[in-house]
Amino acid sequence: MADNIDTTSALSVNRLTKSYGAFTAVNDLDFSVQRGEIYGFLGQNGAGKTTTLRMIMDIVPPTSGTINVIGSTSPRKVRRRIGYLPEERGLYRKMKAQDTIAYFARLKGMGAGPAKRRAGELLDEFGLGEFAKAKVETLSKGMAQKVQLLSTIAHEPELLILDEPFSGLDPVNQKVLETMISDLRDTGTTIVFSTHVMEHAERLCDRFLMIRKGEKVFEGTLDEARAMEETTLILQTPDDPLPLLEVPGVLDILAQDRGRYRLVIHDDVDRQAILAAALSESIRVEFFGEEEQSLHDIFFRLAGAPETEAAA
Amino acid sequence: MNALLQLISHEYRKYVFTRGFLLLILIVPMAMMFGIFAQQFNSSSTPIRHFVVIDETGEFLPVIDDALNARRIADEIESWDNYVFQWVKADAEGSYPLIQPFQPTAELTPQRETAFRTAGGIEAGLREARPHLREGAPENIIVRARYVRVEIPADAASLINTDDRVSALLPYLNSKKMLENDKALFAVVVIPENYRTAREITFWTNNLLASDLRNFIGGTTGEALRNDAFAELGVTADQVDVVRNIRSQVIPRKADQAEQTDSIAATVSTVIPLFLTYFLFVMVLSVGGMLLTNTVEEKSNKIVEVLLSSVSAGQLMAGKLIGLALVGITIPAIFIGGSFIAIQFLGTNAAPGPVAPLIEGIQAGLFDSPLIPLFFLYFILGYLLFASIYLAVGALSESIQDAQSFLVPMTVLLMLPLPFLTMVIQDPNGIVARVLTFIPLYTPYAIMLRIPAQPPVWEIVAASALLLITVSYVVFTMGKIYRRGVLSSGAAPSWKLFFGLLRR
Repeated sequence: MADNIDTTSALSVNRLTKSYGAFTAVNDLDFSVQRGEIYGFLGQNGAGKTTTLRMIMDIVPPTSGTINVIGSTSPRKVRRRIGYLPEERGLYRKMKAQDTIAYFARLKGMGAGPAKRRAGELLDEFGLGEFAKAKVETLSKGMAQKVQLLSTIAHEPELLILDEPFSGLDPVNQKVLETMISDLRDTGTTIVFSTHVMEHAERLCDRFLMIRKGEKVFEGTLDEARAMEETTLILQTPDDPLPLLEVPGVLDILAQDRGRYRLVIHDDVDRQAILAAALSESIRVEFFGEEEQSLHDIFFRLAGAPETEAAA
Repeated sequence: MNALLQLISHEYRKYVFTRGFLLLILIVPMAMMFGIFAQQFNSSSTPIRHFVVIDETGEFLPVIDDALNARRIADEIESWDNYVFQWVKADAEGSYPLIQPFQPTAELTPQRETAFRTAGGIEAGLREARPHLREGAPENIIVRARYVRVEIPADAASLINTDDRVSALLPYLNSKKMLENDKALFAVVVIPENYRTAREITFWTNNLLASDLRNFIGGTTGEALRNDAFAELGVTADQVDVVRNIRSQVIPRKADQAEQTDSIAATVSTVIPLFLTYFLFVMVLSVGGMLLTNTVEEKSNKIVEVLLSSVSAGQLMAGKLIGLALVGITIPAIFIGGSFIAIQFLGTNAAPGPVAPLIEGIQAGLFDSPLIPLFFLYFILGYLLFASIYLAVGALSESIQDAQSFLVPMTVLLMLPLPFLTMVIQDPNGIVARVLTFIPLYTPYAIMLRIPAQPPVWEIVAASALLLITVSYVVFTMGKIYRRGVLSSGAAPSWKLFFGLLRR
C-alpha cells in the first residue's frame, strides 16, 4: 500500500517504528486520517506522540514502516502543504509579529507580497492587528502563542498537525483555539492534534487514536470506544438495592456516592425487568439509566500506565 | 532552494540591517577621523613651555637663546614645507614654482636654514607663492614656539642667592603665582657655577613626565661643552660643524620591489599583510561567535523545530553558514571597497607631499597584490572550519554557558601559534613559517603573513588544498552532529556526547 496514492486519506502510517538504541519509542503503529476530519492523538507523556508527529514531518527518520501524507510517500515533498506546530515552540524575540508570520509562510514557499498580506489579514482577524509592527518580545505570552499558531496556518495548509496546541493557553484562548480548529475543519482542512486533555478531544475530534508506550490501543470514534466498554446501569435510590441481585442477568451492585449504585449486567438483560423488580421490592427509583462513559474514563483504562490504573 | 535563500536572507538581514552593524561600519572611519583630528589638535594645542634660567656661570644663557632661535627657524621651515605641500600648485613633474630656498626639502641642512633666512623667511615665501596657491589657502602661516625663555620675575630677580631665587620661584611652578599675561611657569633651569667641571644642571618642574624641554636644555648645553672641548684641542667651530654635518644614510629597499624607489611605500606594503592577518583573525572569531549565539538562541527559544517543519536540518545549517559568511564578507568588502574608491577618486593628487608615498604603498601593497582575493578565500575557509564546529556545539547547547566548556579549548587552540607569529614575520620562509602553513587551522594566517616574502607557489596551493580538504571533512562531520543534536534536549554538551553523535 505504501506506494499507492491514497486519495481518501490525508495521512496514513503503516507499521511505523522508531527505536533509539534499545529503547523503542514507537512500535509498529498503524493508523489513517481521513480528509477533512479532526483527528485526536491521545496518550500520556512519553507515549510516543511527539516522535510519531516528528516522523510524519520528516524531522526524524523512522526506523521502519511507511508514511503516506497527502498522497505522497515522501513527507518532505509535501511539506509545504502541511502546517506543523511542535510541542516545543518559540519565536524570534526581536522580530515583528507580522514579519514572523510572513517569514514562516515564505519558508513554506509563499511569495513575499502574499505572505505579508496574509499575515496582516490573520492578525486583524484574530484581534492582533494593532500589534502587527510590535516585536515579539513586547507581546504577552497569550498573544505570542497566537502569533505562533498563525505562523502555522498562514500558508493555508491542507493538513494541520498540532502537537499539544492547548498547553500553556488560558481558558479564554483555549476556547479561541477550539473555535479556530473547528473553523479550519469547516473550510476543508484536515487537522491532527495531540493532547492529554480529554475534554478538548471529546469536544473537537471526529476520530481519535490512543497510544500507550508507542503502541496503538484504540482508533475510532467516541461511540466506538464506548461500545467497547462493559455496559453498566446507574440506579439512584434512598433504599437498599441489594434485592435486585435476584434478577437474572444482574451480576453485581456497586455503591457509588450519595445513593447512586452501579449495576453490572449482561448485555442482553431486560432493563424493564430490573425496573419492575425494583418497584415490586418497594425500592424508590429516583434515576435509572445507562451510564455514559466519558473519554476521560476510557483513556484511563486504555492508555493509562499500569501504576496510574492502580491509583485510579 | 527558495527556502534556503529565505534562510540566508533572514540570517543576513538579521545582522546587517541593524543599528549595531551600521555603528560598526561607521566606527572605524570615525576612529580614523578622530585620530587625524586628535593629531591636528595636538600639534596646534601643544602647550608652550615657559621657563627661566638662573645661570650662575653667566655664559650659557646666550647658548640657550641661540639654540631656541635655531629651533624656531627649523619650525618655521617645517611649517613652510607643509604649507607648500598642501597649498601650492605643483607642475606636471611635481616641483613647485618657487626659488630654491623655498623649495621643500626632505632634510633640514644648515645651508637650507641660512638660505631660508637670507631669502626673507616665511613672509617672503608667502609673497612669492601667492600667485600659485590653491583655492582656500590660508594667508598666514602661524608658527608657534614650543619653548619660550622668560626673564626671572622681579620678586625673584631681586634676590641674590640662587637657593632663595628658586624658593621664590616655586610658587610660580606650583601655579600659585602666574607670570606676566597670566602665563604659567613650566620649569626653572639652574646652571651652577661649577657646571663646566660638574656637568650637572638642576631642572625644577612639576611635570617630570614631559621630558622634551629637559632634553632640549641638556642637548644644547652639552653641545656647547663639546664645542669648547674641540676648541681646546685646536679644532675650530667651523671645522666641528663640517664634521658634524657628515651624514651617512642607510636606505632600506625591498628586493622584490626593486622598481619602487620610495621606502615608505615599501614599508607600508609590508605592514598591510600584518594588518589584514589580524583583521582576518578577528573576523573569523567574531563571526563564528555570532553564529554560535544565533544557534544557541534558536535552540533555547525552541524555534528550531518550527524551522525544521519547513526546511531540512542540512538546509538550516547551510543557510546559517552562508548567511553569516556573507555578513562576514560585507564588513571587509565595505572597508576595502571604500578605501579603493577613496584612492581612485582622491588618489595621490589630492594629498601630495608626505602622504603620497603612503597612498602609493597602500595601492601597491593592497590592490596590486594577491592579498585581497586571498583574504576573502581564507576568510571563507577559516570561517567554515571554525564556524561549523561552533554550529555543532551550539546545536547541543541550551545556553551559552553550556557551550563554554567547548569554546575555551577551541579558542586556545586557535591562539596557540600567536607567539610564533613574530618568527613568521622575521623569517617568512623559515621552518616555523612553513610548518604553520601546513597546519590547516593556521594556514590562512601563516600564508597571509608570508605573502610579502613571496613563498613558493606550490606551498600556497598545497596548503590551501589541504585546508580545503580539512574544511570539507569538518563541515561534513559537524553537519552530522548538528542534524543529530539540534533536537536533543536536556544535558549540557560533553565530549562524550559529541563523539557519541559522531559515531552513531
